[in-house]
Amino acid sequence: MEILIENLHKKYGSVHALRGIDLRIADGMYGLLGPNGAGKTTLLRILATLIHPTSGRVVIGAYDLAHAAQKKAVRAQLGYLPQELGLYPDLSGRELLDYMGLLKRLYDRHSRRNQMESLLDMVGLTQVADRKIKTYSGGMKRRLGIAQALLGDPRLLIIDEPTAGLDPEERIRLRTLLTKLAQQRVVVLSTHVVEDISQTCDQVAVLNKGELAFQGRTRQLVEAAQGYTWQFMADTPYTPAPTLNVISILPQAEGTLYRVVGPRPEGAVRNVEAVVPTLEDGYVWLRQQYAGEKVEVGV
Amino acid sequence: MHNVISPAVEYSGVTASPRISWREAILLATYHIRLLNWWLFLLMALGFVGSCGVFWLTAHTATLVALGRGNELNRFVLESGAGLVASTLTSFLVVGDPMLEVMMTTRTGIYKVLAWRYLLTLMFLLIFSATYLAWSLWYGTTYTSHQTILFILFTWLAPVLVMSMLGLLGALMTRNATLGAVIAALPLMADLFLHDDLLPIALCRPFIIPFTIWEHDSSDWWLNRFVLLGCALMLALCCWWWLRREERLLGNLR
Repeated sequence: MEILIENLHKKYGSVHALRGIDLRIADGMYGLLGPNGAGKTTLLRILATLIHPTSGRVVIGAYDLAHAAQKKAVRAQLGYLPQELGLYPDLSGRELLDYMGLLKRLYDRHSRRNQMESLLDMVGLTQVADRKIKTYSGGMKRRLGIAQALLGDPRLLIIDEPTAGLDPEERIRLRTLLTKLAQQRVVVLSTHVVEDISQTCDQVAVLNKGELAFQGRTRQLVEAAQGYTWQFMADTPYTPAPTLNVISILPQAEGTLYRVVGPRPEGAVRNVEAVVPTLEDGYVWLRQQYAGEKVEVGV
Repeated sequence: MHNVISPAVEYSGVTASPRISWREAILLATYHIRLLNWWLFLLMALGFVGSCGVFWLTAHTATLVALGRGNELNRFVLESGAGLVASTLTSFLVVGDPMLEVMMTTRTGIYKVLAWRYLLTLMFLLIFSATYLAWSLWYGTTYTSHQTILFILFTWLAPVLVMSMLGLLGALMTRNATLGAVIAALPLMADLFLHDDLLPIALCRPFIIPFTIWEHDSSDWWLNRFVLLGCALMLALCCWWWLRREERLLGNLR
């Protein structure tokens, strides 16, 4: 399955939430990165057939979302986990999956329940499946959310901020699961946590104020910060130049160790060395460049 | 670290089908009922039981004045009371549902979920109302001088449909269930408090919701019922039109 997005615009009154987005998403895991308010959720909701674009074209597989009948066909292949997932607290995990299965028109009880058991096993909730959802932890609720999205074996999985509010262990579990799921379908993952993308996605798009700031391989985004990522020591008090984006500050015995993105640091600093950038450095470099002028890296 | 996620990511397939069997329909209805606001239904039950109690006390005073008041009470319960309950229940059908966004992306879709829940709510309201009606008729209540099943049905149906649709539309448009219920209650309250001023105006009479309380033997009673049913139909169309753009139901769009 392939998703084609052409010149996509979305306006809410006078607010331009998306401005001329062009994307091509193929099978596998695809990351959407951007700060809060960049338009990620709007784009995902358009892909999930929940909202209409103001203009532009979205084609998912063979179906054009402009046509109501084709939108229904997309829903038959869609699994969706929204950013703010509320669940029914008085149902058990198993009952919720059963109900959602019925809403997805999986009317063959035996097959539906077989699939539910497989999914509960996959997300590690079999042991607690008969407990009421109100007793679940945040991570368990997210995993149950993934399970409901996977009911009906969708070819397209849209997941908005899956790791928000989770502890590191739960994050790793979810990322591992998503990576495995992406082997058989398109998984579009939106997040503002760079680490989630770096650990799971080969392809990424970065949105900034409704515009596409970058589209390409995560490696390309990392390479963009090559030669602009620095590490140095400084004595306190030290204030980095405004052109430098501080990634980390680590107090040490002989001073403070800074990691920054930007032009080579100058002034009261020592042991300045260029370091190998990470995706986070690349993302920060991109945002820094985008604040001044649009970059052409990989777009 | 204890890895609770199974390495297996393949799971058994299941095919969607357009037709639902009776067994699965009953199961789906059971889930819908469980997800309705049970405390509203409890309040509804208490309301009917309380009215029964008041009427029973009135009937046992055995004076003509008291019986007349009892009949008025029953007309109020079956018409305005049922309408008010219907508007409150329908305001909470989908607005504020924690899984609304996911539900909208399913094949069943928001229209059918809403239809299921609306019909189930009406079914419960009908059961309670019919029980109350039977009980009040047993005690000799007179709803009208020409007391027919059709008359009693329309006494109940017109306010229930118009107020439930008004409550639903109000809730959908404001994305606030409580506000929807309040909006629906406004015309009823206006009718109840201003009926002395409104009843003499010919143009207002077809639109008065608790018309039966005061005008149950009036010649334009049927006109009032049909106009109210027409209003309910218009409001239902408005709900349908509003839901055509599902994004209107989603808050915090940005």
